[in-house]
Amino acid sequence: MQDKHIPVGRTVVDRATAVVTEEWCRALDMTDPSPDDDFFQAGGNSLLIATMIDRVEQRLGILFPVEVAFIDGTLGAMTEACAERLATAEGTTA
Amino acid sequence: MSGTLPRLGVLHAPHAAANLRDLVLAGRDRCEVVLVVRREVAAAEPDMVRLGRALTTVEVIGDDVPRELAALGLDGLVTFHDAELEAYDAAVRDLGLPGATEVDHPWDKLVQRRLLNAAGVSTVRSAPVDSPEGLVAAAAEVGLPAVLKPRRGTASTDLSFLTGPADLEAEPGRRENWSGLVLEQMIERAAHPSGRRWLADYVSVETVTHQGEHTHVAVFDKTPLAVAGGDGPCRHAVRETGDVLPAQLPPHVYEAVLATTSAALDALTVRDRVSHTELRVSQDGVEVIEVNGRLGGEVAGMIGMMGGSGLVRAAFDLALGRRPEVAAPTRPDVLISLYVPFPERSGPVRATVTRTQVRELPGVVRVDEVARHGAARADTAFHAVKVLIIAPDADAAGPLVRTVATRVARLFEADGLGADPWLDQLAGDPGEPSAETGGTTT
Repeated sequence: MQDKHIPVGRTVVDRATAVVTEEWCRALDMTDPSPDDDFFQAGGNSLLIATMIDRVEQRLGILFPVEVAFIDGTLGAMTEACAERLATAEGTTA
Repeated sequence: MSGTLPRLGVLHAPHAAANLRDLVLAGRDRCEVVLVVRREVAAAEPDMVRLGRALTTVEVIGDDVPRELAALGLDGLVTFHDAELEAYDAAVRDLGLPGATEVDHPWDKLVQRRLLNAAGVSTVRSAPVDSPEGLVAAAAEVGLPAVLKPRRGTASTDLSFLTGPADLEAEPGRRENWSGLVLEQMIERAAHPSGRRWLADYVSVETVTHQGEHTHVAVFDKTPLAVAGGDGPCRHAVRETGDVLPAQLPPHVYEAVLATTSAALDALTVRDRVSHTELRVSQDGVEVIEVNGRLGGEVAGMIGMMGGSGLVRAAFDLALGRRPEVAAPTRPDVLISLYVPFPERSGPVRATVTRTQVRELPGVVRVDEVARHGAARADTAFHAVKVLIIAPDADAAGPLVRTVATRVARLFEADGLGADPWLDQLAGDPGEPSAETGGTTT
């Protein structure tokens, strides 16, 4: 089930970026993260990222790219990978 | 994963010294990481297993550990968890993999102390205890003051400090668990040999041993221990409160620390593994507190941040029979991992503090944990906050740590942090500028 709070008509990149950034900030209790910020270097741990992954999956209706979260770990890489998955799921271009 | 890479089993559980991300990154392009998880751990930690399966191979095993590990066709095995050390030692010996020690049970604190005594590395007396009557006999042998503690594990709980006859008499009425204990002569406390009063009188050493050759990668100072108050089995639970890299030891003490660590590892017949040794230090000498047969918690990340090599990766190489690349930290500044403790372990967190508030404290470069209002204090291992602090040099580190701890105590005033005697142990050195007030310490 996708999030009803995201306005229809926004691009998949906008929607993925909005949701991933929001859940990132919620998990880490922070505002204004940069795309280069690393989840784990910002104080995240396996428990927090598991929670974030659950929330993003529920809101975007995608399977979260877990390997990107753990291997790259940056906000930019996660939003980009989620946008690609969202585009694939919706049959559009990210 | 490529089929040509060697298969490395990692006996894994939560709260290990290496987490899932550490394992995945260390194994990249090096080996196929096979997370080996006990059935009861898998049942209790479904998220860990789910994430693990998304990243690598996960094998859930039952009670017949040697047979089930043998069936996995592993090229190497490693663990970063204390609870798995004995199973690991038995398995690598059975399977003929690198990592085995020649002696049995070297991480049992009684066996370990006797091995260290026999090798002339330690003079601390110890005796086994399995009953209240046995405690009296052990105290007659060891003498007081002494520490009564479990022979296995490093959770720093279930400890009793027996300072005199009154404690000895009272202990049977306080303690519930009497199996597998050791009474050890208490090592005399001393000032840190640098004279810095905010540093505790013990250090830890991370060592990479390849084919019996020891490379000591880093020595960490510690901030003062905190001891939980109150009654019950945790009344003397010791809480570590911080690691400091690099250690501020005079050269002769530093050399003694390294030499004693090498001698201790030789006595325990360590040949291929990463180990974590804790030693009491003073101007007059060095005494081994204990040797752990795995990487220390927290420290690998700190060594990496300071320019040193990855110790999880080194442990992987050792487990696969390879010589690891080892480099000591190179950065000139001082990195402190500080975990500010709750003075009272029981009950929920009363204060409401955000990560943002903690992030704004001076010198803080990372906030790893902030206890949430209403959560059990146990959820954060009884720490109010856990942060990383960078100081430009050793002289600046003490005032910075004291300032952060004092301000955290104010944020958590509702939980009684301001009244914790632990804060007093962070006293400034005479004449040192106070970062908090601008005055000087007397």
